[in-house]
Amino acid sequence: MGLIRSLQISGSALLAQRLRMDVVANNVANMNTTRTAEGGGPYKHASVRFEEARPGGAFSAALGRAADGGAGGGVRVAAIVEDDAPARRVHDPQHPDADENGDVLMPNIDVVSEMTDIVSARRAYEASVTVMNAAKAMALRALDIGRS
Amino acid sequence: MQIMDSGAIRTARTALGGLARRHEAISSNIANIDTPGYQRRAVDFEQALAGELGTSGGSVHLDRTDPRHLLPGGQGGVHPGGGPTREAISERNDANSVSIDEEMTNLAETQIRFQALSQTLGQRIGTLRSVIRGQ
Repeated sequence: MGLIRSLQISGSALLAQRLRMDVVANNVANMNTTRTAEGGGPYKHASVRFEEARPGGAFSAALGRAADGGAGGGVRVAAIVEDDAPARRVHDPQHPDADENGDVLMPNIDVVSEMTDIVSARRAYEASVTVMNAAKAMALRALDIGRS
Repeated sequence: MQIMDSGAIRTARTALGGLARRHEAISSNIANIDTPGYQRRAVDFEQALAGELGTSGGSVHLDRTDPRHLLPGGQGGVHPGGGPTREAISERNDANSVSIDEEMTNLAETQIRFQALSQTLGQRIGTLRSVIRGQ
């Protein structure tokens, strides 16, 4: 049924955008983190990679593909990728992680780009909520057919 | 005599199915608004529907003597033609061809048409009900 599938597709988008928001929040929270648990270096900027979700290998998925010509299964986060751009070098001899020249390696995070990412995620989230509400309204209206 | 399987009801049912599938394609497009390389999908069922309505006349066939005459709507239940189609126009760097304005416009249009159609269908069934009850 098309409208229920629409709800699931929009739901996958809400989930993906929220995960993206989590990653952005983590980036902003760690914009001054000079040490990570894995060993030494400063925190590295992370970003999500979206990909179109394909229905799985189950029978129902194959049936769905055959029946609708592949409207897609929504979106999913394929990976959270670390950015290998070089760390910022800040001169701060008082810092506990300063090297012998008094330089500290700070995370490669650009706050402006994080903020634009937040706006983008938020707008995409809102768009999917709108689609979801439309699907709900349509389904409810369809339920009214034949009701006296 | 066919009561529930009249042409109008069948046509409305088919169109509702087509609109629901179009809505599914729109939600897929909007869900993938930030997916690199995603190509938008669209569902076109009106052409198939109009074609069916124009060609299948049942036992009585109406000829058109003027191209401006309206097509007879009749025994024309059809399956929504074609699956979601892909269009490959991209104006973004990440090769994603979704335009949010276009999708939102389509969404509003689909929703309104769905509601109008289901209202019509509901009224039609209400008429049948009053005929059955003899009121």
